[in-house]
Amino acid sequence: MKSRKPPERQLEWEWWGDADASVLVAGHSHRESYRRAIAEGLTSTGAAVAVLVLGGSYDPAAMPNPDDTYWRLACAAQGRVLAVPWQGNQYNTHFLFGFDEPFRLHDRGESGMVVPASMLSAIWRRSFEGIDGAVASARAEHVVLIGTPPPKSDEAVREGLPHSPFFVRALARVGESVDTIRITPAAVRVGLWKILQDDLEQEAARIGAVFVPVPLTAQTADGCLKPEYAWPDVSHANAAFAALMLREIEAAVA
Amino acid sequence: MTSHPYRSQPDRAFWSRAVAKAFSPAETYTGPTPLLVKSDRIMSAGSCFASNLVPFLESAGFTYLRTEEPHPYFRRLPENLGYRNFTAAYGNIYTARQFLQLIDRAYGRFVPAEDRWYVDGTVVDPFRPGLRYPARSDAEFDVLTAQHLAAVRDGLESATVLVFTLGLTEAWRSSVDGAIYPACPGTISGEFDPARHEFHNFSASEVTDDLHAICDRLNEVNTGLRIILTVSPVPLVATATDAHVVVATTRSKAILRVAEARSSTRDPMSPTSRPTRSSVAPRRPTNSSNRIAARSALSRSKRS
Repeated sequence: MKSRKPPERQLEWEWWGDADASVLVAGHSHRESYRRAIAEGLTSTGAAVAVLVLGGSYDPAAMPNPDDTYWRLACAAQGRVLAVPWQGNQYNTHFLFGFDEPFRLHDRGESGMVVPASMLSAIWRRSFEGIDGAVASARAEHVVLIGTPPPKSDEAVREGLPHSPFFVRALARVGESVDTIRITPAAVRVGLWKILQDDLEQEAARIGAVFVPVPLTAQTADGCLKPEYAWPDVSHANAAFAALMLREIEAAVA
Repeated sequence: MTSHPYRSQPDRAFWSRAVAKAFSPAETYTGPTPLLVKSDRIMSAGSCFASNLVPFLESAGFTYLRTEEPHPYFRRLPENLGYRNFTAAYGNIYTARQFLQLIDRAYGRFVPAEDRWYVDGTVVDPFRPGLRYPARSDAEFDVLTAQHLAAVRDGLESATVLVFTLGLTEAWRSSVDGAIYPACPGTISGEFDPARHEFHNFSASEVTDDLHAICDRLNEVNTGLRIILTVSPVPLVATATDAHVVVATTRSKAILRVAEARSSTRDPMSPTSRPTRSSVAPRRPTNSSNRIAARSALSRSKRS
C-alpha cells in the first residue's frame, strides 16, 4: 500500500491589531511580543500597531517561520513603518549551551581560545539571506530592522529551558537534560548578542533600512535583558519590551 | 684500464644510473641517521612546500604539530591562503628574514612600526594579510595577535623538528624598520605606499646571516630542536626586478641553496659563525617514511 504524504498546510497569516495601523510589525518569533503588547493595551498611547501573525497561535516557540506569502502580505500593507524583527536568536541557537572546549571573545569570557567576531558573524551569515528580498517591495514609508532582545541571565535561562520546546527537543536528541546542561556564561552570550546586533545594523544599512537598537534601559548592568522585560522562556521578551521598542521605533522615524 | 676516483663511486653518483633509470628520491639523502622518527613532533614554516609536505607526513604516521587551530565548532568555516596548513596560522613565510622577525615578534624582541592596516572597517595583520576573519577593532586585533604569537612560541618550544622552506629572496619591507611583509602591500590587502614600502632582494650573505640568527634564537628556546632546511622548487609568480622571471627565479633559488649550504655547515671561518655546535643525534635506520623529507637539503643544529 502506498503511503501518501499529506499536503502541506497553507499557513493563514493575518494582521492582528489596530485596523488603521501606521506601524506594521512583521518578522520572526520576536513578533509575538508585539502582539502581546497590543493585547495588553500597552500600545494604546502610541501609534496604531498591527502585527502579521499566524491566526490563533500565541506560542512563540511553536510558530512557523515566515514564508513567501507572509512577506508578500507584509510588503503589500500600507503604513508609515514596516518594522521587522529579523531572526535574533542565532546566538542562542548556536551557542546557548557550552562546549567541552570553551571559547571566549576578545573582551569577554574567562577561558578558552579567543574567537574573532568576524568568525562568529560568518556562522550566522546565512541567516540574513533573503532579508532584502523579503522587504524589497515594501510599501511602507520606512523599513526598520528592530534590535532583538539581549540574552537572559544564567539563572533565567535555566528556569526558561523547560518552556522552550526548541531547546528541550535539541537536548533530548543528544541525551542531555535541561537541569544539568552547561549554559554558556552570560558574559559571553552578551558579547555574542552584541556582535549579532552589529550585524543587524550592517544589514539594515545594506538594504537601506533604519536600525533601531535595544536601549540600555532594557539591559542590566552586565548587559542582560532586565527581568521585567523577559518572557519566561530562554530567549524571548515580553509585551513591555515590545512597547519599549515601539517607542524607540517611533522616535527613530520621527 | 687506469684507476680513477669515479671507479669507486656508488651508483647514486651517476646520473645515468641514479636518475635516468630507477630514480629513488629516498637515496638523495645520505645522512648517517634518519631525518625523522615516529616520535618526533614536526613543525614546518616557510613557503608552500612547508605545508604541502604535511599530508604526506601525517599519512606516513608522523605527528605534525598544530598549536593554532580554530575552535572545533568553527572548523567548518573556510579559510584563505592556507593559514590552517601550518603549525600556527602564520601562512606562507617566503624569506628567512620574515621568519626571523616572526620569532622575534613572538618573544617581544621586535615590534613592527606598521603592525596593522585599517581596511573596510577591519584591522588587518600586515604579516597575515589574507586572514579571512580579521579583527574589527584595535583591542580585538591586539588580543588575536597575542594569541597567534603565543601559538608560535608554543610550536617553537614543543617541536622536536622544524622544517623550514626557503622560498624567495625578493621581498617588500617597511622602509621605517625593515619589517618584511609576506606579500607586497596592496596585493592581498592594504595599500602600497612608496614612502613607506620598499623592495629588497636578499643576498646570499644576508640569507645566511638570517638563517644563523634563526638557529641561534631557536637554540635559546628549544635546545633539542633539529632543523631541516629545504629550498622550494616553485618558481617566482612575478619578479619586481628588471630581469626576466626565469632569470630572477634561478638567481633566487641559487642564492637560497648557497645560503642553506653555508648555514648547514656553519663554516668556522665565516664572520657570521656562532658558537653553536652542529650534531646529529642517533636515529633509527632510514625507512620509506623518510622519503619526502629526504628529498630536501639538510641542516641540523643542536646545542648540547
